[in-house]
Amino acid sequence: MGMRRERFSGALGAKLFRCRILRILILFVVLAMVQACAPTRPSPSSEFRTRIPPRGVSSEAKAQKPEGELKTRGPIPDEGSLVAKIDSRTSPQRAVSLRLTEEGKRLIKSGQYAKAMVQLEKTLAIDSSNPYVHYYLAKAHYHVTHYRESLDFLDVAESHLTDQRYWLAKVQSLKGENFHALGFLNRANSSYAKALRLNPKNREASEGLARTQREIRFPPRR
Amino acid sequence: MRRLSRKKTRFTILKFTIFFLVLFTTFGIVLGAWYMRYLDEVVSAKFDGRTWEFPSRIYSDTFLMYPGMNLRPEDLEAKLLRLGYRETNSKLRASGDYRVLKREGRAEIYLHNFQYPLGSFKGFPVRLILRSNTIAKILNLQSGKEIFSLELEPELVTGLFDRTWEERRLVTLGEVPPLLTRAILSIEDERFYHHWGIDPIAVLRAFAVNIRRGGIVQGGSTLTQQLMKNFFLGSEQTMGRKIKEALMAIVAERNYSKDEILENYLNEIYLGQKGAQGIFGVWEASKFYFGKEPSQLSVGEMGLLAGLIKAPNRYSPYRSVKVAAARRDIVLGKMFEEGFITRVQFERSRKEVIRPREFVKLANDAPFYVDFLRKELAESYSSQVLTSEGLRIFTSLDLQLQALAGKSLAKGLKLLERSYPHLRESGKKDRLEGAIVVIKPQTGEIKAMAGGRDYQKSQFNRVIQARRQPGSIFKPFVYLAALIYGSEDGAIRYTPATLVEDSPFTWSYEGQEWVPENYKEEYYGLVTFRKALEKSLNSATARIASEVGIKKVRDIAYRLGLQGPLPLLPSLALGAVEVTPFEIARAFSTLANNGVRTNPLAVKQVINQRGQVLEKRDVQVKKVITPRAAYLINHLLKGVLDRGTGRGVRRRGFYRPAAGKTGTTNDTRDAWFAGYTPDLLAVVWVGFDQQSELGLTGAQAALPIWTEFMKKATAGNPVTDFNQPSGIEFIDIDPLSGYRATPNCPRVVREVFFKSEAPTAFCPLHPSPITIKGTAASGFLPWPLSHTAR
Repeated sequence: MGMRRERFSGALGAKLFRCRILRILILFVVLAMVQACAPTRPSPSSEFRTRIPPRGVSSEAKAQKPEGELKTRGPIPDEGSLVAKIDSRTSPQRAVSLRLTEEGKRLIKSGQYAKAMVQLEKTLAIDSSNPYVHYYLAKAHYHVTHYRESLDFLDVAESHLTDQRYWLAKVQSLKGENFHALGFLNRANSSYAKALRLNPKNREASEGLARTQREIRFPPRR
Repeated sequence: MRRLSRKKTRFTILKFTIFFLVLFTTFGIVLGAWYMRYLDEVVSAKFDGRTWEFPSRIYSDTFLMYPGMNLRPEDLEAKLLRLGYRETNSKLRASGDYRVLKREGRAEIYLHNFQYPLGSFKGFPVRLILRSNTIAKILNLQSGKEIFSLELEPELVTGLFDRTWEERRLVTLGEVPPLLTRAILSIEDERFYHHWGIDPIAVLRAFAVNIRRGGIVQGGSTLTQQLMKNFFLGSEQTMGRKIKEALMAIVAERNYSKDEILENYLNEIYLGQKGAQGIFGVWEASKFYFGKEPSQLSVGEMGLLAGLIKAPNRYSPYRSVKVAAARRDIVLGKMFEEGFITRVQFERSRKEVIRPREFVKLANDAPFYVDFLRKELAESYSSQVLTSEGLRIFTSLDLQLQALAGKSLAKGLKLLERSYPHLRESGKKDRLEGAIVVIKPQTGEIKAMAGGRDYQKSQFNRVIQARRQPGSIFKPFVYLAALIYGSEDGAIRYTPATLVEDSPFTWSYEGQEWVPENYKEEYYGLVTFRKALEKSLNSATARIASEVGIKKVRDIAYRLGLQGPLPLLPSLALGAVEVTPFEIARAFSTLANNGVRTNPLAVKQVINQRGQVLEKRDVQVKKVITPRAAYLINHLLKGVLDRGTGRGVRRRGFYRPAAGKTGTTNDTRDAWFAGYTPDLLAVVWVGFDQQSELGLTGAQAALPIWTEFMKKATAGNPVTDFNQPSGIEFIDIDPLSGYRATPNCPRVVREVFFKSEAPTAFCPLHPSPITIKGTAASGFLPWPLSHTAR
């Protein structure tokens, strides 16, 4: 009886074991299908993003360190109004340049990209070392699908923003968007990863990274 | 029998007479009908097709003002006058008024409305608080709020037209104040709404007046007839023309409503002359005489405008306020008689003071620039479109810089001819010429361009058309290539302190030998990399180029912006190629812009008459060298101005942080100077079109013109220096050895290096025990120095 029970329980266990594998397999298939059918811009809380580090980015794990550890490498400021950066030591050119950049930023937000470009180009002539103007010019160009021009402005912005990790992350993230739009998925992937290393809270980069990795693995049918 | 025969003959004659009469009448009717039909077609084509030719208008860049900006009240006033603003002593009342109160340190402007390519701007009154030629504050007088930047509309530079320049802006009848229409009708055709194209009563009245006065003093033409005359006919006083005019008027009246005819008249009528521009239509005239739109005119101004139609130049207030006022009063009297204005309005309007004004005649101050624009625009628009479709072309041109550039060049060349008589001798067959181009490095905007000393005498634009040898002005590309790449074999990393041999040298290349020689065959022996550039030493430069490789030098030149063919020959290192001043300006502006190349930008936007943007050209940038490499070469080129061949710049009183390079070809046929502050770049070329020998260096011929221009162009602007990027460090070195200075070094200079490339070893020529203690044994190197270039 005991033997039978043992044999029985062994067979049941095997069955159950097989069943679990089946269940896990089914779960994976469902997950994969959900992933494939997901919208192009997944929500920022997507788990997928954090689970799969981009290939070839060895320091990705380091980039996703807890916030406290990052703080030791310098604060990441919030993106407030650029006008707030004006103080008594700001030169008149920089002051007007920051104000005009803020105006350009507002125009981009309201979808008036051509106007924003004109405004920001004027700003560039006043103070070309204003690091934000190149970023916003890149953003305006991105919105009007001038991706290569946008990347050119981002290259310049990057050299002006050497110490500002928050902004450098934004630059890398926008680079990723441009590369993605141009179809250079690996380069987009790398840019997003860089952005996340600089600022793990950069939402655009984390969304972009997830999307790009998905597209690398499951290339969309063209 | 005879009587019968005579009767028969008479009958036959009568028959024939009647026959021919009927024939001629029929023929006349047919011909008349055909002619009327022809006139009908002509008139209809004009009315329906509206075939006015509108010249394209070229505008300068806008003028941005902001707190902290330097601005002299006189410069502001000159700008406002050029823009058609009118000075007032009282409070600002209407758009276009301004007053500058120098003692109180403020200027008030009621801004014009302006249709920009991407939107319209509605003018409002502003106050600028000025403190010692600086804008301290800008206030919007309407809202009372402070504003932080203010833009003045662009200036009209010139028009692109075919034969004559008719300046005209079309208006609908609804846009013209009814009182202005009435004023015109009362003086020109009071029975307009009652006749059918011709007015027999007016003709009889004019006839009677003319008989009484014994000459033609009054015409009986209706407004419709005047319109027909303006549309189709000349000004000859013949009966044939008068009949044709009358017939056309009848046709027009039959086919079109009174309002349609009146609207065409208000747009067509000639109302004055502003230099080359003819002023046509009431809108344009209103702007020209009063700086206002028709809707803003006072009754008196409307009367004056209506009075001008008879003889615009005779009654022009610009010519005589008295005559203009007398004519205005006649119109006002007619308006009062007709009941269009009340007695109070009549009396008040007669008392309106017409302020004498000087109009700023529009002269094309930038003919070479405009030619350049034409060439650029010709790629997208036909000549016919450019001269007739009324496009508005917005450009990067800065008229103030343009005037300065033109003057500096003309004056500089004149001075050269005075100082060096041999230039005048050569000039008999080949006139001394020059060119200057000015670029904003950050955006690539071409701010000014003078392609020769006198456009009237030669329209050859040397800025873009003269391909000349750049000579030493090419050297910075060699030095930059050396800083970036080092020697081809990787043995040498060049720094400003690297020692280079400056002595006779032979460069063997592809089986041929090339022996570069120094100016006046003076050789300096072992010199620093910096000194070789500052003194523009040919031999040392050629050695560096041979180490780096001519391919790398060419690569850098192309990266910076040169576009023409550059042969891979050793002589390239010393500028033995042909380039235009424009190309040189583009390449140097990349250096001025921290290694970011921009596309030269002249045309910014093109819009059509309906305000639609046909074309928008954006600022384009490309980072082609690292900011730290650009900083290093800029630092070296600053030395050219402070100590080197360009030190004349300082001697002549230009002290701002600036970098530059002189250029002289071996045969002294071309003299160049390219120089820049972080905000403005100018390139000057001087030479002869037929390649006569100039016999002067770049420092002697081109540098003075550059300095003269830059001193004025940057006057009042804040002083800015080139931004130091990361990855740069400054170390004290001994210029003789090129190593870190010791306390025993008699001369120490602070030199710039890429971080990690600065010399670590101390000067072996002047060792110090202190440095021996503090340095590793390897800190000293045996002489000759290991980092000396071969």
